[in-house]
Amino acid sequence: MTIAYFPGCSAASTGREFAESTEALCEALGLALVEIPDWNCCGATSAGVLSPHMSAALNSRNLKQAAALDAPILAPCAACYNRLKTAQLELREKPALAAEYEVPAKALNTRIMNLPEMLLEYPGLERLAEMVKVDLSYLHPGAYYGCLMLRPPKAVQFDDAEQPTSMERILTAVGLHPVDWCARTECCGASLASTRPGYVTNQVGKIVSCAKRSEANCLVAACPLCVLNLESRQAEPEPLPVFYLSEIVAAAIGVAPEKLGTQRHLLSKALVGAKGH
Amino acid sequence: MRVLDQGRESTSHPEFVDLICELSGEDVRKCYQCGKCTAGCPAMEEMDLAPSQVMRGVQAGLKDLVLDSRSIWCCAGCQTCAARCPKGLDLCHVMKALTSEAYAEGRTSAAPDVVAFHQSFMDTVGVLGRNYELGMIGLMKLRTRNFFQDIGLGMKLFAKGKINLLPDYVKGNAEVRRLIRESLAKRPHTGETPVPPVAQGGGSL
Repeated sequence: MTIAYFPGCSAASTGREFAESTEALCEALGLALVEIPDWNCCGATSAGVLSPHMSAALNSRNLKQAAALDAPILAPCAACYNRLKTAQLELREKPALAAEYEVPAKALNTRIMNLPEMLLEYPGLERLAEMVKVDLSYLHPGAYYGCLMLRPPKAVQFDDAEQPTSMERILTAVGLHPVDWCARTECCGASLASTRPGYVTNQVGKIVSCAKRSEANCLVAACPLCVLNLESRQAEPEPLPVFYLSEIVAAAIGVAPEKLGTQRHLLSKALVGAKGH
Repeated sequence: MRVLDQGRESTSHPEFVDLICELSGEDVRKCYQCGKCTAGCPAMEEMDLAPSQVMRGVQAGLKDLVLDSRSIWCCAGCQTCAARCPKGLDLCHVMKALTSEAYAEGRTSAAPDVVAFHQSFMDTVGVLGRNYELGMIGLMKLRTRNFFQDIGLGMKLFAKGKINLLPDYVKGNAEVRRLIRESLAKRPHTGETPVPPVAQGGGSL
């Protein structure tokens, strides 16, 4: 199975362990990731703030670059995923715009997946459960979805925007005990992290205290912006470690933690076998 | 037309409603002020107008009130409002239409640091085709003159190998730069000569 891979800009920097663990996980699952040739930045929040046309323009190029691979796209970063899907929908709804940017019809219908979406299908929950080699049952994570993987539902059409279950189903399949908690789809404020740090620290504090009240001993997310923000803006004396979904699933099916970039975390280096999480 | 709103007098620009509807792709007139967007907004504490007030301001054509507000720049883009609006309106599209209009008109004094962040982000994308965090943060610090914020965090990230010294770049970076420039120059209602955006604080977009 070939997957067209859109790593996103953070894969080379602040989200490095997300990229490393996603790549190691796909290798272990027998999925061939082929990087989209010469992909460009999706524009994240900034493109849309400065011009209502910029996000579709930038991502029309990405969709064209991906079309050559003729495979479903995996965009692990929630922001890239959201921008690619939103642009694809806009280009589908506005044929004149698709013609202006010369986007081929094939690119308008290519499937774009986030990481949990891919895992639910490739390899699927049953197969994942069969592959488990390492006992991670001591982890009681709060699955944190944040915003961009789920909203706006019209564009992303993934899971339930208010009561999602995909990450909990995956975490349960690989032997963890995710907790029920209330801030799973709250915004962490990442887009304002460097301009309104005080507000963002508050927002992260609210999310973390919700998770602690539900007796979570870590958070698991699938967005590099969320993870950086949740790790760097936690002001609590006893911070909650934050992991990527890709790290957890890969560790559970027996990929060595050093292949997962786990040592790069700001809060907790150790994943497998760590005590006192 | 003069409008008196909670003691503030503003001038109404009826054509502003059409402009924002066109730029955002959302029919702002449909908003019936239920307030659900405001109730769920996580960024309210940074805003001067609630999201539902921004919508009402647009409906009333209160261009100055809305474009000079802090709220449009402090929207976190989380789309909670878009997921919950009973009229199916995507308020994030409206907020972005408003920021882009404010940016094109040079009205950025309500949140110059937020504008500096977005300009610096797109500057690096314009040059390289991808975001380069070190370059972006450097440009932002030059624009805001806030040199010491988050230095400690930067050092920690660097120590973990999470700050790239050398940027990645895209072979088609000239095409990316062209797409960015053309998007900024696209103005509604016109086939006329595009108006270049007003550059602020050493902006080079």
